[in-house]
Amino acid sequence: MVDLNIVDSTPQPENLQPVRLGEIPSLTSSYGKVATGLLRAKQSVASSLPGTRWETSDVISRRLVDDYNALMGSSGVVGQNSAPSITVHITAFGLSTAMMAERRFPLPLLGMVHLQHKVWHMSDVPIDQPVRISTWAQNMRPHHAGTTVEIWVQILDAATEKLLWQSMAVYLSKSVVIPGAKKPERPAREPFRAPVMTGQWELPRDIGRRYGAVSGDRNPIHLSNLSAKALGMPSAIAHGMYAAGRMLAGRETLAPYTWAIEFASPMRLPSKVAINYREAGDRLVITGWNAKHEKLHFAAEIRQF
Amino acid sequence: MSPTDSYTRFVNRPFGKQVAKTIGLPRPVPLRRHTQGDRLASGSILVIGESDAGNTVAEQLWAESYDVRRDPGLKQKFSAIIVAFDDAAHPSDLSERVLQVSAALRGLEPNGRVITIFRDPQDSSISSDANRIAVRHSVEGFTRSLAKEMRFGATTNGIILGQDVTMAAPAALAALRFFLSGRSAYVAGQFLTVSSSAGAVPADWDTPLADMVIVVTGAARGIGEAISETLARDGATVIGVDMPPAGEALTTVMNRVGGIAVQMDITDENAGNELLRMAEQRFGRLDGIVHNAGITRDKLLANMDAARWDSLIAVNITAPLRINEQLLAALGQGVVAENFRITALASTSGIAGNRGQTNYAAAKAGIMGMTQALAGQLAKTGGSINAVAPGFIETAMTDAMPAATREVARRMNSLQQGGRPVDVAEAIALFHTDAAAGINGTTLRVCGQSMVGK
Amino acid sequence: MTSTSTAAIAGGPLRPAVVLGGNRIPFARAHGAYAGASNQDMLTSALEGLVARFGLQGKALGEVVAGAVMKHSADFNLTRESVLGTSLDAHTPAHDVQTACATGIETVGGVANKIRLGQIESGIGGGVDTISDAPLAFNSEARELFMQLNRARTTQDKIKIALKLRPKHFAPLAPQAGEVRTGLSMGEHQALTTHHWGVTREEQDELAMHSHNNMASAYDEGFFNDLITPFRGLDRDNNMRPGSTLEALAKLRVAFGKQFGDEATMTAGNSTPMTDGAAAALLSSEEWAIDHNLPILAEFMDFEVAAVDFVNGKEGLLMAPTYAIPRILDRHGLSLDDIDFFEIHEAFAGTVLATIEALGDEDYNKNVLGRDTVLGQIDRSKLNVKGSSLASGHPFAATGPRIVASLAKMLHEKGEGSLGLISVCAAGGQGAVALMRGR
Repeated sequence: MVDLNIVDSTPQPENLQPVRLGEIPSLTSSYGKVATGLLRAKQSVASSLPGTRWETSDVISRRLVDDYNALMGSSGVVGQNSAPSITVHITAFGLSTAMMAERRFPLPLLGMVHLQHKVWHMSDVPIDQPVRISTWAQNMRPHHAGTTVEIWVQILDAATEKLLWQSMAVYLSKSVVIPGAKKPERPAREPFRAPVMTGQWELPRDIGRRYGAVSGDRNPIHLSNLSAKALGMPSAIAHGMYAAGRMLAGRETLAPYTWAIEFASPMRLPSKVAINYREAGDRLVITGWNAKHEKLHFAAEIRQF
Repeated sequence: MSPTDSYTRFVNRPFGKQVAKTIGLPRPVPLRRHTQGDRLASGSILVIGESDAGNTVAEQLWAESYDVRRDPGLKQKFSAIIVAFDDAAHPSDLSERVLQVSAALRGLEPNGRVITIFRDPQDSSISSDANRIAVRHSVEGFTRSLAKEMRFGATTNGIILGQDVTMAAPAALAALRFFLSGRSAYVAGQFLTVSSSAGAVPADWDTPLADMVIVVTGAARGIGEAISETLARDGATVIGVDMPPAGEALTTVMNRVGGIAVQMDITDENAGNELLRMAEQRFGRLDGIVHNAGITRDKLLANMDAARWDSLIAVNITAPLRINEQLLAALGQGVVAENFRITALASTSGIAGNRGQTNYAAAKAGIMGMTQALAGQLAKTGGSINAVAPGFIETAMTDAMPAATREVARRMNSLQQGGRPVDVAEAIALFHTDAAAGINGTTLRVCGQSMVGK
Repeated sequence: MTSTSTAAIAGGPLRPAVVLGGNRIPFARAHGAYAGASNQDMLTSALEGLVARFGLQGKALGEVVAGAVMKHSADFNLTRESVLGTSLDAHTPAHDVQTACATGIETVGGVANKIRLGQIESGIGGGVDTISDAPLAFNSEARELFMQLNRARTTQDKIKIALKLRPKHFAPLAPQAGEVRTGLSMGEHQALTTHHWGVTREEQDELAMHSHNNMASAYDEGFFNDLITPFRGLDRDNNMRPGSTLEALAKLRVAFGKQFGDEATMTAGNSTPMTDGAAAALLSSEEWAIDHNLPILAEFMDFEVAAVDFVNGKEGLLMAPTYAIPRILDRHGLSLDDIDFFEIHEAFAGTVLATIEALGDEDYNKNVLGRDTVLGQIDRSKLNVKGSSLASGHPFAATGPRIVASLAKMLHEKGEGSLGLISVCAAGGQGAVALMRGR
């Protein structure tokens, strides 16, 4: 069985300078910035994080929830008016991406590897009701393959300021090192041994485009083999958060609950992903792997309180 | 199976008619067939012979408002000519009435009828009277020959009255009606022998089988299908039996006639008992059975094998014998009616023999033997058994024959065409009526007076 | 109608619902003999055979209830449309039911309950399925475009949308082969259960062999003569292989559970193939049967449904009957020993064997079913004695009525008071079981 190795961290938004945006910049403009950024000289060392916290107000729209549920073939969360986890992520993702695409952000957005994601549902996130979205980066750390950073998102009730939902994503930038920091050793991991397959996902060739259409995240590495190869990938790969959504589909309950996922290797498109679900106390442990090559794709858990 | 074969259609169109007439080709016409409510005749009926039988017929038809004539008159048109010879004592007695028939014959309408009535030459009460025996045989010969002179769908048939049987006997009237009507369309040159006065006329001649429950074997298609339809039309409830593989067709037929479908192999040891059990449970009665199921396994005897011989004998004669035995064992015990009626399909092959059909002819001749054998037993309680021997009947089976062979077979009879399954069914239906109880142990040919056999 | 006492639904006593007989068309392997036949064709034919067998032409029944698992959206009123195509009186109402492979038990059970309550006097419970004519759907992109096209008002808009259509939009989606929430095929699910219970290849092959040979003998002795009506040239189930041997079955390659390597046991021989077919069973009150001089074969006593929590791999997908069986037996104060015939639907040989294993397992009885005592063993000589789905095939919704009609006949032949238990597992982790008593 695969153990999760999620970064233990607590959110520290307190001493950051708020940057308030009227609306969330589109992902296209952020990726555009990145593309033009490519022309700039590559940074190879990261200075410090900008010390800002980006904020805006928005809603998790019914339209998004409907499209997302249709994509997942799932009727969403128990209870009619709370947003599925990934739709909250999608709503906030533009803001986080804009922040990371900004010039002062020390790590290049392009080529960043999504290592982990953890979500806390403190309360149900309402659909079509204003929420405040806040995002920031913290804990830039050396990693055996480069540098990692935590990107946090918090969703607060617009009226009461009550924290409803928060997430932490850990990204890896392979091309950047922190000056003076000691590069840690690659941690020893037991070789992957496949559990019993209790489920299977068929990831069709167009699933990157379809998730991209729903989420707005049209990162070329997900869209087609051609566009992925242009960015140095061997083929198109599935969105990590699509996998998280599949894992959650039909299993999201009312808050409070948390879930976490650790990505080990990308899921190529098209492919079949072998799945194991295992209940362990209050945790539902999910493993996804490539059965043919006995290669782990991800390990995850959903935990109810 | 075409409603009318293409040649018949051809010669009934103006051009074809002219061609046939000019070069002397056969000119078959569409035969008149019965539908519910049809009258026995549309025009005048000439009844010749001021005898007991002649008078009875005339009175009976008069009572039913038919236009009955006792004299040919001049240039009269007739739907039917009935000639009674029941009082003939010597061949020389025939002349006067025969010549009256002759005079009227040109006025006989297409699909008309000539019916002779005479007494049984085998009547034991005249066993030493050569004159009477001779004249009765003479009428038989006269009838057969006249049948062959008929044209345009008209037929000649005879009613033979047995010892002490008068024309007022229910079966004599039933025979008369049968021959007059479209029910006998394909019966020509044949005789119905009324051997007793048993039976009763029905309340309604259109539904003479009302309330009866009758088993039909081989009911899924062809002649069995037509029998089921005809029996149901005449008021009976049909228990249709066929082999399990024929179940889909059987279902269709039974749902059309409102019967019940029984998928069964009639060669099963217990087939008769099983049918009895089913009839008891479902209807509490059983009034008759039609042994129609049959197979052919044609081969010259030199090439015959056990499989062909045995399977055919098992289906065509052993099964009817065993089923009869099982049903008749229950006679008088409440389910099998006292006046139980059995009919069976014989064949002209069984009468005349047919090359390549030693097995079939053996079985069908056996059917006629069975019919004679059981007649006495059944008559005791008012029952009866009769067989029908079809000639060339247009079915899916004959459709599969080589065209030339089929065309020859089709024309080798007085009506110059093939019969239809319903023609056989009409004869079967007649034998299941209570009116026909006095006809027992006989085989009626439905063959258009085929040249094959007697 | 015929009943003189007050209906149970109006305060009177419950009365028995009895099975008078049944009819089905032979089952055909998918994409074969019935490739051109629709659900409606097959259901109509099964009903027509029943009508002919029992002389129901022109009669109005209380209700006809049937269903199909694989159904075109145009077939929303499948059963009623089928009834209108039969010789039954058009005043016979009908409705559709769908609970996957348990559909047929639910349709018969529903009819039986209405009869018992006095709401109807007679009815038919049926089921039909076709894989050969399964509905195909457009993919979501195409569906979206067609919907837009439908909503577009002006010709210009329509052309604009129509121009977006590409060949790929016309590639149909195959019908969902697997469980929605796991993505695993039913065979892969059963492989998990089969492996969990340690059911061997030999046991499964033996069960399959018995199924084929039992059913072939039943055909030969004419058992199905009044249970089946031929359809489209087929007069026997064409999946059935008389003279099946363990040697032949042992040669087949593994089809499901390949992840278990050497321990994989499930083959095409001990799994049921995709099948087309239809079946129907005739039920009524005792009074109606007597009034119509129809045979009473058995009483449909009761049925019970259950479901398992299979989504996260906790329980076997097809194990729901293990919950329903003890519940229905307990309700009637019966034990497995009281049952004369067990009809356990053979979705897979492994399903039957795992069910039997579980019911006799102490730990499962105690910790899963919450029973103080072990339910017990099933006498194999009473199991599927006329063959089951491995031989006949399994057109999902038709399996229930197939079993009900066959079992009714078996119980009637066995004698008054004999007992039969039906168990049918179903997709979605569901199952239905039923109890019948011979008359």
